[in-house]
Amino acid sequence: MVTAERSLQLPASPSRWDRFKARLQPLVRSKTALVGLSLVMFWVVAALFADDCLINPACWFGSPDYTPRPLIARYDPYQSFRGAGLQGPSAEHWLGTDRQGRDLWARIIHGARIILVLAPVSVLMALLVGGTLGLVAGYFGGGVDEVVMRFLDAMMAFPQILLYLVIIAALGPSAVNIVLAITIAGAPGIARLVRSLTLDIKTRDYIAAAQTRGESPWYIMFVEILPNARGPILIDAMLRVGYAVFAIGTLGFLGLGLPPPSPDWGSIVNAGRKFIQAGHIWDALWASLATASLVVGLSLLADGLSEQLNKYR
Amino acid sequence: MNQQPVVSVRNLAIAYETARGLVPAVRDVSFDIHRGETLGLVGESGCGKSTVAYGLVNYLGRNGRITGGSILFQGRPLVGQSEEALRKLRGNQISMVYQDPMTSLNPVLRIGDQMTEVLTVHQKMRKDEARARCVEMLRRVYMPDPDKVMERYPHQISGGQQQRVVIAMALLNNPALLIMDEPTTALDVTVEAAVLDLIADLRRDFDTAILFISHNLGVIARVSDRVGVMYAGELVELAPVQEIFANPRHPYTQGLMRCVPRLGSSKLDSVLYPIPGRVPPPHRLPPGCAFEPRCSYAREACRAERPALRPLRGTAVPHMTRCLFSEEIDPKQWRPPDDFALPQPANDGVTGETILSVEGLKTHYRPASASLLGAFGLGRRDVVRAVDGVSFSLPKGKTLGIVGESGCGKSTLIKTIIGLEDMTDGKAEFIGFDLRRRAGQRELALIRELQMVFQNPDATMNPSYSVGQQIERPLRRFKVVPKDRVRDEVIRLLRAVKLDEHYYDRLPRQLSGGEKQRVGIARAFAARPDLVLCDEPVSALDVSVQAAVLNLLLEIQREHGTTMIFIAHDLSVVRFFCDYIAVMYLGQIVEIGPAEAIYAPPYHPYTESLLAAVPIPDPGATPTHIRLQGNVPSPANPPSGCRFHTRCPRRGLLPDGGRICETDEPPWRDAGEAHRILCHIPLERLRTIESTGK
Amino acid sequence: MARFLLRRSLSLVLTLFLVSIAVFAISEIAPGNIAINSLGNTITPQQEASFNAQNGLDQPVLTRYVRWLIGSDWQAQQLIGNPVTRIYDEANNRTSWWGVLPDGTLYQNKATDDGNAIIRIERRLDPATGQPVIREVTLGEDAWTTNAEGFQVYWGVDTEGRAAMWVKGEQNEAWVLTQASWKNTKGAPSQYIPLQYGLLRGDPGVSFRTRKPVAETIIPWTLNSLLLAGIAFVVVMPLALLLGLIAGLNEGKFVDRFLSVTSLIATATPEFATGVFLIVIFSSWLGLLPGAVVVTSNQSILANPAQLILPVLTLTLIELGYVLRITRASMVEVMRTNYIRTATLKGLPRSRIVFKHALRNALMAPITVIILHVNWLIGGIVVVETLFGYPGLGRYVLEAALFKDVFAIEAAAMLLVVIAVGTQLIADIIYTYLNPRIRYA
Repeated sequence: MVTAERSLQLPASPSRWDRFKARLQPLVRSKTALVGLSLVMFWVVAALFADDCLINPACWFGSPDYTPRPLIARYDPYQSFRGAGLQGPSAEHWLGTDRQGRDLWARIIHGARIILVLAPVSVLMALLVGGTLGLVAGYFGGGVDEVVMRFLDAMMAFPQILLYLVIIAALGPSAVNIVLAITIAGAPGIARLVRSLTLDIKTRDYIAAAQTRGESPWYIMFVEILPNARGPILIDAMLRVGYAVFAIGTLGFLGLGLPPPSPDWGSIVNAGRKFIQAGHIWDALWASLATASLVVGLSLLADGLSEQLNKYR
Repeated sequence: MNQQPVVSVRNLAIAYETARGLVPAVRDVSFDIHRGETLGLVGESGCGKSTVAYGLVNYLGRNGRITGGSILFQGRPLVGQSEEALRKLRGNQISMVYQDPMTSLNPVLRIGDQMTEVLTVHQKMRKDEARARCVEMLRRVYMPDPDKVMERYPHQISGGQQQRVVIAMALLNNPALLIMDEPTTALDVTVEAAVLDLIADLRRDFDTAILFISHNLGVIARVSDRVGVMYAGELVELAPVQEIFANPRHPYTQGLMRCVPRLGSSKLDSVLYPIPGRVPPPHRLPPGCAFEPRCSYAREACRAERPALRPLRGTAVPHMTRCLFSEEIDPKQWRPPDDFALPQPANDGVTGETILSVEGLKTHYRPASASLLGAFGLGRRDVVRAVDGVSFSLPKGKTLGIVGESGCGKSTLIKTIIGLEDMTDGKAEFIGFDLRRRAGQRELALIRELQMVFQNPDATMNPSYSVGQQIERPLRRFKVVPKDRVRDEVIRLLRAVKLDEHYYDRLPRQLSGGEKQRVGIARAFAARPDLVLCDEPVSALDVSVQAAVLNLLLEIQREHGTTMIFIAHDLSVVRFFCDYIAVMYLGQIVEIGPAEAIYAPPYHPYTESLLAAVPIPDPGATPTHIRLQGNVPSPANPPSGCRFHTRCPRRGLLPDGGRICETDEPPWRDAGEAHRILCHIPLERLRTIESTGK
Repeated sequence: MARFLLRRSLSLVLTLFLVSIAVFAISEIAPGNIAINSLGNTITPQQEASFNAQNGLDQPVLTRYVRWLIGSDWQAQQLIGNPVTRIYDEANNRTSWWGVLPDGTLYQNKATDDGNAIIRIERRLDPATGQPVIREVTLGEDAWTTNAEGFQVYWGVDTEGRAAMWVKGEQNEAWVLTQASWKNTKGAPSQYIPLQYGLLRGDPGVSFRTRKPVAETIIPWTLNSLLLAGIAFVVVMPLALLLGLIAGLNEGKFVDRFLSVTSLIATATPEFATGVFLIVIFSSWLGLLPGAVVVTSNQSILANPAQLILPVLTLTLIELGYVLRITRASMVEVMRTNYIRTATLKGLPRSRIVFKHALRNALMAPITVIILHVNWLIGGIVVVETLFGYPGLGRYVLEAALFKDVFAIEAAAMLLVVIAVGTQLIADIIYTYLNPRIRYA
């Protein structure tokens, strides 16, 4: 028997709860991340409890005699108050009303729902498409890589706004098309990131070890490589959700967002900006503020997290 | 030496501010260095050697600071000096040479600019004058073509030359103190030898005090006048170089010397004794002697208090030690601990049947061309002949070592055998299987018998999965044991590599380098392969861990009769570990044979140069002056005739200066007992060369 | 280095070629019908067919792509037998296509209503006044030639800027959209080639919306946009690089935290929101600055510089934040490298370390990233121009997209891509200049 490196007393394996706490640590330690998280959480809660749909089973199954009861939103976002158009903030209408006399607070709160569904969904789609392309290009290399990257370069040379304009102009404004446009515009960037991570990770010895076990390329890509790229990908995705909110807002502002009467934030700004010069700044101001706070929140969160992760690497 | 020391360090303590609070990295370090004297600091990684070096110039980063003690430089205190006062000393009176020359030079400035500014800033010298000095200094460090080098950018010269530039730059102002932090660690053994020669020359010519840091006992023995041994942030022994190598009196120093193989010793006639345990992290130091938990002499007194650095009693030599019992522990009286059993000697009943035969194997590749023209197949494409016609055969149960400088193709060779690279040409047969296809296309039965152990402990394990999951994978994939017994088998394997079952759920980041390497070995042996390829498995490990891992590999091999191919750049390790050795140069084997035959004349001139370059951990050894010039030529465009002719130091032995070497490929010369040398020089002539193995 | 740039330029040309196909494909082949998109869905099939024929939309995709890219005049000239040219008429502020007779006289053609005779409208400049003089000549029987199928045909230039083929005796009708309504004209040609010089020669076609060549509007508006972006660039670059370096050098200190967080907020806020905030503050509340850009047709944008302030500020804020952050990150990274350690331990003064050793390395990453960011800037320009009503390329492309003005979208898209890709080449050149590892590869 050869003497072992006598193992020094290591602390016992941490419990799940300890690990969870350890994961949360960077969040709590960074003030930036904490501020970002609060902003994002505000909108998430607002979106969830705008009305009672989440807590009323009648809503879940689409019961015909169900009408949503407003909670946080206070009013129905589509309800017009007669003779109350273009009002400023008041006790009755916290943020004022728009031209049709609809309550702006209700519309903004309900707008959060739209954006908080569309943005993550489009990023998820872009992750699926871009991530797969990047993995394949990076792992196989050679001709596959050359073709994929040339194609993606051409896509990236295309200004994103143009892509949005052309796609939405050709297909018409709708939730599906907005998701499609953002997926197409976002996928090349994700593919590049994943490819560069893959190129780095695939030189590690444990990948060679898997190859010498004769593992299939798909096993290596998805089981051996992908889990080790998740950190940067997640942070990038968080930033991208921010960009997606940004982009969806911009589309709405340009008149390519969800068609009226949807309380899409960008569309509210677009409708409201005509009244700014006339002195009614509220529509544009509140919707702009909402969009900005959500994007800033997501960016702060991503920034604080990545800084903490780098510090402890 | 009665004059005032150049630098005098007393009770130096350095700590780093971390999330865990103030963590001491260096404690209670004291030493003097006089003019013209070299103090070598040696120790394993994490022992605080570099921290001492950077502490001297007070460059400890944002979170490091000197927490105690004093540093007198030429009589003046350094601690507490203003940044401006320090700046005037740095690069002028105190200069440094770093481990990694490539990253230490600014990539966007010409070498000339980087050198002259040292003079223009400190001496206010005129530009042209400074330039002339720099060229002169480059000449002093034997830089070929110094005028041209001044105009170059760092990436345009080789690593060895970069280090010469850094050394020349450090010497420009004729500093009183020169600090060298692992200056040869990043270099190939042949380049290292040349740089060490240079340092030895400069030591004679400049009257400078040198602090030389290295983890390599051989290098330290080469350059030092006195040697300080560091352990866990403390200086544990300090003595003249002869004394410390002949008569080490601290258990850690003794342990270090026992775990490196001497050049020429073999597993058949010697044993490595690793130091058990590992260096304690600075935030969890034991209360008493820092080395006590790993020390085989430890007694109650050692646990009670921290010993001081004190002179050794009963000797005239100035020998300091930090052990309570130094006088009693004679290295010559040392016996291995009771629970240390020698690995069983190799079973002589090995049949000797050939398990792997390789014939004319070639691996060429085209470097990935980034150019668009390349994409259309229009660009000029060089073929890199990484492995270019290699033949050998390997009997069952034996170990073949492959040595050579980096870039000689040794890694590519084993990657081709295991199927990570495409074989361009040739034949390779392994227990009846053809090895031409890549690993992904090979049948499971073959894959199972052929496994690999990797170099870098930090990359050998997938950071996302636990130790258990990673050892399980080959067990399940190759169906080594029934499904319900997989966990037991993993635990058995963990025990076999001296890790207990608690490691099952650990993640790689919770493991030390040596432990990761053990898991890598367990994973490779999980499928009970016939042939294991080891690509520098111990190069990245500290010497004490290296010894343990080598012993582990030996033990497993002897138990299972596994055949191995073993790559390492440390020629002593290869000699110790292997039965046969192949010496590779530029994709070809130039000499192959039984290990003992390779390390004794007749040598191939390349083997001779490699052996001459090995730093010997014995200050009495006289260095031979066979040195290779230049770098390995590009494998994309190898020299004609004998590939070694551009650097061969022995061509003079042939008539007309070896013209034939440039034109004709050399013949294989059979020196008997399967020992063959690829050289134009006749064996009788090669036999007259003296042995370089001391 | 030359080889590197050559390689980059080649790949750039290839990229542009691919993009041109993509732009063409998305806007012309993709779902939707140009005729219906531009004329509304009340048109009859005859009207649609006639519209398509007149605009060359009945041709195969490849033909249309070639004409769009390199023009159709050279093709038409062979059929007509005379050169064709485009002139600009100041009197009625429009351009028109004419055939050129050997003596230099310009001409257009139309047919009599029964289609039996061709009329040539000749245009000469009166030598005395310099004013154009128009007269109509009815051509004789010998004007007709017999084509391969045995029809008697005449190739000429019609009055709507097209090469056209009349077949003798064919009483062809065409639907023409006039200012007010659809009009059915007789004596129409049976085949058309819309005349254009092609994208590569600066003529991307005629806008369906304004009936004017796209180039006429797009060029001045692009210059307006470049003015806007240029001012923003001149403000942003030095300021952002400087602040970024300051933040990077003071990593972790208050200055750094302040600049980092502020710039993050500035760059994360969408342009329309920033713009709305600025308008609300400076225009609605303080009444200091105009909240919209008002330009009459013959007035320069610069006539009232105050109206440029808010658009420029909006663009500046978002770009400033972005560039600052990149520069800061790069500086922080460089200050941690071994060569900065070497420089410090060489005893160099801090100023020399920063300016000589760190700066060039630290600028390498931001300069490329920033210039690649032009894509992003373009998005900002579209929003800012729309918000402030600024007559620029961004607003043009948005309006073209909203009205589905195909040739205008195509032209604007290609222009934007050329700008984006061109700046990438510039980024490469700057990067190559800064990085000797590429220069002396």
